[in-house]
Amino acid sequence: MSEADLREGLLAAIGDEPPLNFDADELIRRAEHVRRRRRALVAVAVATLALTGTALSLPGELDRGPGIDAAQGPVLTITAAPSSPTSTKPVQVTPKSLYAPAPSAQLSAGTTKYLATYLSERFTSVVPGVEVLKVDFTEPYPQDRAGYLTGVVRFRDDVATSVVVVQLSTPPLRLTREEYCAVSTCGAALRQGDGTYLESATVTDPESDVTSRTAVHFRSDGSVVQVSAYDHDPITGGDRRSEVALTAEQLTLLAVDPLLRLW
Amino acid sequence: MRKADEQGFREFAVGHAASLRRTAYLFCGDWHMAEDLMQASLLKLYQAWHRIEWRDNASAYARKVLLRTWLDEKRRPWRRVEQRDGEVPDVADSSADPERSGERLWARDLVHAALLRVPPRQRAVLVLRYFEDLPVSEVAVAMGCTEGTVKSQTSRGLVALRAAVEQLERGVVVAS
Repeated sequence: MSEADLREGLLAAIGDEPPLNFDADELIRRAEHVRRRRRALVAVAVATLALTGTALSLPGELDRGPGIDAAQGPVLTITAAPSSPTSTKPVQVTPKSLYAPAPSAQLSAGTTKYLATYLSERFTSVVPGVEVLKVDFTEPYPQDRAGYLTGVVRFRDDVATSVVVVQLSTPPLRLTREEYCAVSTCGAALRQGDGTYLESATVTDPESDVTSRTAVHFRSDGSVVQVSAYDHDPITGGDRRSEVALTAEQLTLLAVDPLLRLW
Repeated sequence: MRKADEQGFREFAVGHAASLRRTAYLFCGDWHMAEDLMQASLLKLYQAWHRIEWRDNASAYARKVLLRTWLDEKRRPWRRVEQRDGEVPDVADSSADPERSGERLWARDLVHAALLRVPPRQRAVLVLRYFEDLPVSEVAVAMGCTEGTVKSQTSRGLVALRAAVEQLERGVVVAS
């Protein structure tokens, strides 16, 4: 059989092709349904992971009291039964405090307000041409001892709305490089002039087909600033765009900003 | 997805649905399964439409998705044992006419029946090269392999096809 015969045979093989009843609108409806279901599954998985992480970390945080400081109280001694009526009075042990005082890094009342105002101004200077719709910083839980704070900048550019998430963390709740690289593909860390280093990654989740880009600054004081942008609006779940809303350079500028820190 | 992207996808889907289904039929040999493969491929294409629209050739990407979808489908265990021998023809079987059977067999059924005896990846190469008329480089992109592999698979596929044709022809001669 020659190649020409094969071509003719293949063309003849589709000669009994049945009519095609293809409905593009129905196909798009099904595709959107699949996409929404995947996103919902991802959202549930993320929420479950976050709740699990919080539930596992809280007992360790709450039990971190230093206990009784024996050095500050009198020495406990066991004495024999009194041999005479002029024995000394038993010693009373009264520890000054069972728990150490709260860390000095406790957030002041105006910190979140200050950070929100500053971030709003800084964001428009780093990403020109956007309209900042809202900046919110979460109120930290008391047990977090000011170790972790998340801010969300919602904005609109010439494509659609989207958000940028800023996470500030300090020990013992700070993000470690190992934790970050476990979910992102890390390259060689970029050393900065002041001895700190930067990580940056763009990740596409194969299930939800959602792309995010992140820049993380590991600072010399032990704190970490992570800034993330997306190729859609995570709040509405829609407004897809062909590229992530912010470039790696813009994210880096925000991550290394020295005023974005826990006061 | 934005309205403009959605409109672009709709136009692409309407324009390519028929050709994708034909290619799928030559892969699998069944029009119903070909329709399923075409729909599944377009669903996957929709999910990735914002990524391929500007960067890649959408037709080439669609062929690649179709091929992967079919090969994935073939790997599923229940496909190995499924038999499709209960199909009732909608029209009179002209091949039953002894006077026309040889002609029709040669023209259509023989090539297709022989093609279905060729191993899947070799079959895919033959369909893409001789039905879609794609150059070796584009077949390599669709198959996710090197051009050298495409050439060797084509050569082996043709040998397997010719052997299958001869075998079928011998069967016809013996039966007659």
